Amino acid sequence: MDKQRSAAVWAAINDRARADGKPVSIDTVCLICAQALRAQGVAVALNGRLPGYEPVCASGSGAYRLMDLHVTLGEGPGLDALAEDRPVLVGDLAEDGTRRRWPMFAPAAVQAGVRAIFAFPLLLGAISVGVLEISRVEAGWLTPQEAADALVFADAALLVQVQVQQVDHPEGAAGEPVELRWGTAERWAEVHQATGMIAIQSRTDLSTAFVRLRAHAFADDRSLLAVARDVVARRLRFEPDFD
Amino acid sequence: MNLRTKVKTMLDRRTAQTFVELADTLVVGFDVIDLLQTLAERCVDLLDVDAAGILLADQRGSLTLVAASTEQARLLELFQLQDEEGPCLDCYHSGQMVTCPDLAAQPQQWPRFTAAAHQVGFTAVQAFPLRLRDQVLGAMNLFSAATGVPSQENTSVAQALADVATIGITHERTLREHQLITEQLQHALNSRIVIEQAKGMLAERGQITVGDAFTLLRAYARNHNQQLSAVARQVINQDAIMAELLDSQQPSPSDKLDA
Repeated sequence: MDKQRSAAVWAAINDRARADGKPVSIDTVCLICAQALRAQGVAVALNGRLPGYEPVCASGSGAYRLMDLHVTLGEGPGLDALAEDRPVLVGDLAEDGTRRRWPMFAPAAVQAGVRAIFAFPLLLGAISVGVLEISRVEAGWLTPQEAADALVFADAALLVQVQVQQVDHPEGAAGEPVELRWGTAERWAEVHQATGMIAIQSRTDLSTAFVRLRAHAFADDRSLLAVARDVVARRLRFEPDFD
Repeated sequence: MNLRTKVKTMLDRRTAQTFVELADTLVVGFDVIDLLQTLAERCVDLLDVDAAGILLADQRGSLTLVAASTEQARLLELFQLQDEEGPCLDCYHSGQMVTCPDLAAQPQQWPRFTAAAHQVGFTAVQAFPLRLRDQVLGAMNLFSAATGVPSQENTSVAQALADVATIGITHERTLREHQLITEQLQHALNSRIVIEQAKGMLAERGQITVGDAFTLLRAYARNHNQQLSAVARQVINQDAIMAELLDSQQPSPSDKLDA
C-alpha cells in the first residue's frame, strides 16, 4: 500500500499533459504507462456499443498488432478482462497453459514479438468502459508495485474516458478540473452510493452520474466525499437535465 | 457436566457449524463479498463482540471496507477512518494481531479513532491480519462495547475466521500468487463497488436508507439462491427487478433514521 507512489503516477500523467499544452488524454496515459512499466506497447480498447472491443489508442510498435489479433481472433487476455471484470495477467504467452487458454491468440502474439501481456479492465463498479493492455517483449510477471501502478493507470484511463463521453452530452463536464486526480475517496462506499442515487434522480447512467458528482464537488470546491455524504443523507439532489 | 462445560460445548458446536457453513460457501462460483459478509456476522454471533468488519488493502493505496456486521452508517465511518489511523491500519502494516482492551487507556494510540469509536459506543477493539505467507491482504476488526482482554480461545477462533477470509479471497491460491491476488482482490473490491452503486439506486427508487437497500439485496440473493453481486448488477441493469425487490419486503422503519 503506497499512496505516494499512486500520487507520483498521477503527477507524471499531469506533468506530461501540461508539457504538451493539452488536457490529459488517453494518449497521455498510454505513453506514460509505457515508460513507467517498461512496456513494448500499451493499448486501450473500449467497450463498443456492440459487445466488443474497439481499439482507440496505442503506444509502441506492437500494441496495434495485439489489438488487431484480439479483434480478428475473438480471443485474448484483453477480451477476458472485459468479460470477467478482473485483471488478466499473463507472464508468458509461450507457456503451455497460456496456449491452451488462447490457442490462436497466444502463438500469434508470440510471433508478433510479445511474450507477456497484462490486461486491466477500466472499471468502477458497474461502470465499465474498456481495457488497458500492457505488453512486453520478455516473459515475466509484473512486480506487486508495478501491478499497483498499472491499476492507477487504468483508473486514469477510465477517468479520461468517462469525461470524454460527457462531452457528447448536453450537460458536458463543465467545472471539471484540468488537472486529473483521483483520491482515495473514489474507493469509499458513499461515493458509489451517491452515484447510484444520482443516476435515479437525474435519470442517467452511472457513469454520467459519477461525472456529475465529481463536477459538483469541483465547482463547489468541496471534497468528493463531503458532497457524496450530502447526497446519501438527502441534503442534496441532482435533477434531470433537460435537453 | 457443569454449566460452564455445557456452555462451552454448545459454543464449540456453533463454532464448528460456522466453519462447515463457510466451507460449504467455498464452492465454484461463490461470491467473495457474500462470504466476507457472512464471516463478519458470524464473528458477532460467536465471539462475544458487538461489531465486526473486514477491510481489504486496495493495491492502489487505501484500506477499503468490504464487509461489516451491520450497515449502521456511523459504524461504517469508523471502519473507513482506519484508512488513516486505527488498529486495523496498524495490524495491516505489521501483519500482526493488534489487541486494545481499553481504547481510553493512556497513552492513547489512536486519538481520532478512539473518539469516533466512543461515539458509537465501543471501548475495546481487536484486529486480525488476513495473511497469505509474506503478504497481508487486509485485516478483520472486532469491536466490543465492554472493555477487557478477549479470551485466548476466542482469539484463536477469530484468527481462524480471518484465515477463512483469506482463503475466500485467494481461493485459487496456488502458484503465481501475486498475480492471482491482484486478479482476485481487484475483482472483490470492484464487486463491492457494484453493490454500493446498486444500494444507492435502490435506496433512491424506494426512498429507503442505503442500509435497508442492502438488507433487501441480500435477502433477495439468499431467497433466489443468487450471488449478491449478481443481484446488484441486475438492479443496475433492469428496472423491473428493482420494483420486485422493493415490493418483496417492508424494511423496519426503525432503520430509516440511520442513513
